[in-house]
Amino acid sequence: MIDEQKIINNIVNGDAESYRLLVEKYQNPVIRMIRNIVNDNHTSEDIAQEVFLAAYKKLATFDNMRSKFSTWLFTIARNKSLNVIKKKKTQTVEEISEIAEYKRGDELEKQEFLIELDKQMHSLPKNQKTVFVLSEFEKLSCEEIAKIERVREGTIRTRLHRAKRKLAKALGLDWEL
Amino acid sequence: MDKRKIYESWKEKDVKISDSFADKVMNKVFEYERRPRFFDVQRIIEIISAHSIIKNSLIVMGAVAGSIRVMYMLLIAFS
Repeated sequence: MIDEQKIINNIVNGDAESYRLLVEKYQNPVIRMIRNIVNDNHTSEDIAQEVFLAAYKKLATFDNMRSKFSTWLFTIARNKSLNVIKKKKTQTVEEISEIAEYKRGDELEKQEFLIELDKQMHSLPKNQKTVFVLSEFEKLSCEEIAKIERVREGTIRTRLHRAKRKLAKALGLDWEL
Repeated sequence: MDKRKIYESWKEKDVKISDSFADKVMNKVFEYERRPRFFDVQRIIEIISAHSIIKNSLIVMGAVAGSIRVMYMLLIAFS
């Protein structure tokens, strides 16, 4: 396991190459999170590059007493993603072309259900979607999400509950998410 | 079709990342590092905003400078 604080100290002291270790460690969760919020496969890597560059520029201001590095990084990613959504305004759900390959029976139903899951998640209000993504995909605790969103933990729980309820209702599920 | 299972697998879905992603980020980092740093406004602002002591000191200095200026103006006006 890498000692993040030591790496950060090295980077701040001029060893820029060490930043690669942090990029490689967090590239997957950051890109996945951006993709889930922005709903665009093509631009998520570009946004993630901006996120990592912004984090690098601000690294000297990171305070490990206030939050974990991952929480801090996710905050930058969350803000950038929401800015992109604001600019885009009209979002379109990912094209079905990705699964254009003809599937039969159960497989087709499964793909349709997956598309519907994506579609319904992206139709959630922004603040609920962000909380849902951070909790369900990135497995962050309510405490960590509250730090990222800068609201109380109770608010996060409420948003998460509402998001899950909306999804379950939209998908016609008879069990709680 | 077990929707619960599909839902769980959906949450575990991974993203495809180009192999050169980290290289692209590092190129941007090195490019940023190569920029001349005589007066990096962005970095100065970031450092100021991250430290409340610096922030408060600047506010106090501004207030003191403002007060001195007002007093000087009053002194001139009434002299």
